[in-house]
Amino acid sequence: MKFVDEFRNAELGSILSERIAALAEPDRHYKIMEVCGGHTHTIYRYGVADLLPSNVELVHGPGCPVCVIPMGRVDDAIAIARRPEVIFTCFGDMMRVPGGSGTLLEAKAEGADVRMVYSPLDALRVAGANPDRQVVFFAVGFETTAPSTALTLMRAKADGVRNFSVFCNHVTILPPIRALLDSPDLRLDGFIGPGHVCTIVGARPFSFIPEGYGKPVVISGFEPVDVLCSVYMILTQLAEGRCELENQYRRVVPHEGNAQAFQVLGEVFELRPHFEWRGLGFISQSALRLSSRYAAFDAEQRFPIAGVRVADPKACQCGEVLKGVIKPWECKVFGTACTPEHPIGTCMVSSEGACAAYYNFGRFARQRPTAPVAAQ
Amino acid sequence: MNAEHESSCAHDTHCITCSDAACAMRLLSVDESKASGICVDEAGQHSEVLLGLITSPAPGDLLLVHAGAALQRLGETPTELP
Amino acid sequence: MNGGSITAASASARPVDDEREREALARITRVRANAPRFRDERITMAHGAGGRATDALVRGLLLPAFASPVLDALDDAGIIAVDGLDLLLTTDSFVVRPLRFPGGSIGELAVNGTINDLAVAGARPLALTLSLVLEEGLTAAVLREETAAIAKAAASAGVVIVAGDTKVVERGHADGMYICTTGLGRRDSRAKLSPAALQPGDHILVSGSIGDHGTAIMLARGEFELESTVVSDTRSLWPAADALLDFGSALRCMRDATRGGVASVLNELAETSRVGVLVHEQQVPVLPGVAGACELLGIDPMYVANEGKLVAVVAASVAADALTALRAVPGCDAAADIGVVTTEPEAMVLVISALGGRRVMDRLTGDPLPRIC
Repeated sequence: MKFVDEFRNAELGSILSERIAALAEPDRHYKIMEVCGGHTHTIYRYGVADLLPSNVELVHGPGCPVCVIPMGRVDDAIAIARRPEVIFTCFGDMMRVPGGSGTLLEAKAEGADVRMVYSPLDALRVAGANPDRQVVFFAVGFETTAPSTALTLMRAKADGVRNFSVFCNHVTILPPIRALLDSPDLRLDGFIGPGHVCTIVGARPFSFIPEGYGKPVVISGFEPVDVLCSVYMILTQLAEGRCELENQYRRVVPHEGNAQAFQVLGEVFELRPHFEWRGLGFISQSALRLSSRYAAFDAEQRFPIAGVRVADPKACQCGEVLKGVIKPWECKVFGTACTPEHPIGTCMVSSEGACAAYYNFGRFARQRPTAPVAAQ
Repeated sequence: MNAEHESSCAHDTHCITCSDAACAMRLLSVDESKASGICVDEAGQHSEVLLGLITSPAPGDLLLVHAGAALQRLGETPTELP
Repeated sequence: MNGGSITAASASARPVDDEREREALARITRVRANAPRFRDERITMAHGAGGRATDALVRGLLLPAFASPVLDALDDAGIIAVDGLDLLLTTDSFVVRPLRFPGGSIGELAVNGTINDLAVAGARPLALTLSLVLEEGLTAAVLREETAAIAKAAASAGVVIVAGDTKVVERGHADGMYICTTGLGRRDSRAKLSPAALQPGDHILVSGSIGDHGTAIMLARGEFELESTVVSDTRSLWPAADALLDFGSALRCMRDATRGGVASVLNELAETSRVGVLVHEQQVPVLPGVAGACELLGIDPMYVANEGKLVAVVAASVAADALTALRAVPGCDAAADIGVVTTEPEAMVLVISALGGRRVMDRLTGDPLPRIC
């Protein structure tokens, strides 16, 4: 499987870098937003910004499904995890998200049985191996991950598993983007669309962005050369006066979504009327809960949860960072009160959060002025 | 206390599930009764993968896998960049 | 391509933005320069990872309590001068799970791990003590195996075990067994080592492929059917250290890259010497099996533990010869020159990716792979 090496090819990278520099108009400042934690990771891990001219800026939008879980929901998760009969399973990043009074990791240190898993199927296996305990899975993720939870629940139901339930916090990608685009203080030139979400929903739903808001969108793959290529395609659209949905990740992403996935999701989930997104407020029809057919597996029905809304700390400016209005270092508490070890807000909690990515990878990486790439 | 993967997730790693990371895996065998199959990845590791999103999965298929489920069948060769 | 050339005005960064960013970064640097305080209410797994939390625990709680200048230096081994002789003493505990893994076992780790702390401190290892904490119910077969492994590793390193202790704890504790070893060595007269001795222009060498041990453990723990070829690299580093010590003061410092990996070592050295470090990612040797497994789990091999690899910083003038000498040591044929010491950014490690872009490689925050050594 040679995909990986090919797409990290440094030569391709520098060709694209030159082409981008040639296209970027000298007096214009371009802001391109990506809405996928995976893209944030790629950009920082490979130092992609170093290959862009200084007037082309990448902004990290709300693409991290962990980052947007409100503190109150984390508190509810911890309450469930503290129950002696419960084995609480979750993905890695969720363990460090602070709720109103601590994280799942801290609860674990205090004796709660919290275990990291890599898939909902792992969690179901834990249930099988521990028949006398209640296993709860903290489901997070966009449309990329929700089908896996759904398929796992279908198996649990078919196998008659009684000691497994899901605390569902799946969210959908389009409503927050729409909310962002509707906000008055936003100024963006283009979007890099989330590659793997689109394998489920297809590229087509993203056409509302060029059609409704006049911004080009390019669905991108995850290798650094993919991201550079997508930036190049956006600048090309802008230079040619076009405004379209394009698919750079054609090798994987279909235009239409995965019909089987829609069926599976429709069977197991339904849309919540509204859901609170940390930093962005309440957004309607943006999150999933278990359908009535699967009520038996709904942790919110099996266990009492307080459901209390906990406001973000006053000092936290995550909302503005998520919208790309301010940069991480412009937040008053960035790096001082809010650090990766002691995060205050969502953007610092997950590895793909804009602030965490900048703190861990991006600091100092642009210290020296970016050498302009000669384009003659 | 023999749980696997007890670790927390560090910032120097990235959470593969939360970042939508998906990987290409080769399908080796299908168990229709369980709607899943055994796949192998580049590192030679085998794991069970849910196949409910794939039409007619067959051994030999190259699949895009995320969080334990196959999302898509992959072509064998990547397309050219523009 | 169409589009004009980039003018100087647009090529330079926007001054106001950059100024604000610099101020913010300066603020962060000041905060980070403060001595770490240990403020946690409970111990978490992060405290055992060899990263920031461990650092806060050691420097914020333990060092102040013991007021020991030798300990404060936080070298791999502590120096005690006795009648003109420099003796080095070091200790380590081994809590690895599982006890046996591809390429080795807890017994081997217990011997090699402690020997290696002496070796990279420039001391020829002489003797070990051995403390065993055994779990009730541990089979004699396992104990025999580990005893044999310990004996074999000690013999092959030319080290004697001179004292020991055995305790047993109730079923449910100690996961089979924990081992603690203390090592005594004598400082080699060629050694002129200090973590504060790095100078801009120095080269960074590693003695072979990185991330093997931690990856082998992680795969051994997984529920996957194991078809990977990754094995632990546990071995004595004395032969490699011995070869490098010939370079005298041109060898600034050596470290064994255990918990926290090469990244942690480089961060410690950069901070202690107040220099920057620049790593060329493409030069870093990583086995394909390790790269693949780490990729899948979202872990950077630079942070993964090794049990038989050292990092050495050498003056530029001897870098090529030192690398040749290192490669001649059995088992070190994959040794590589992976980067350089710079003047700035001070106390930080940067990595240049294959694409030419840069990123920071900071200290570890959490614990990606617990109980690996």
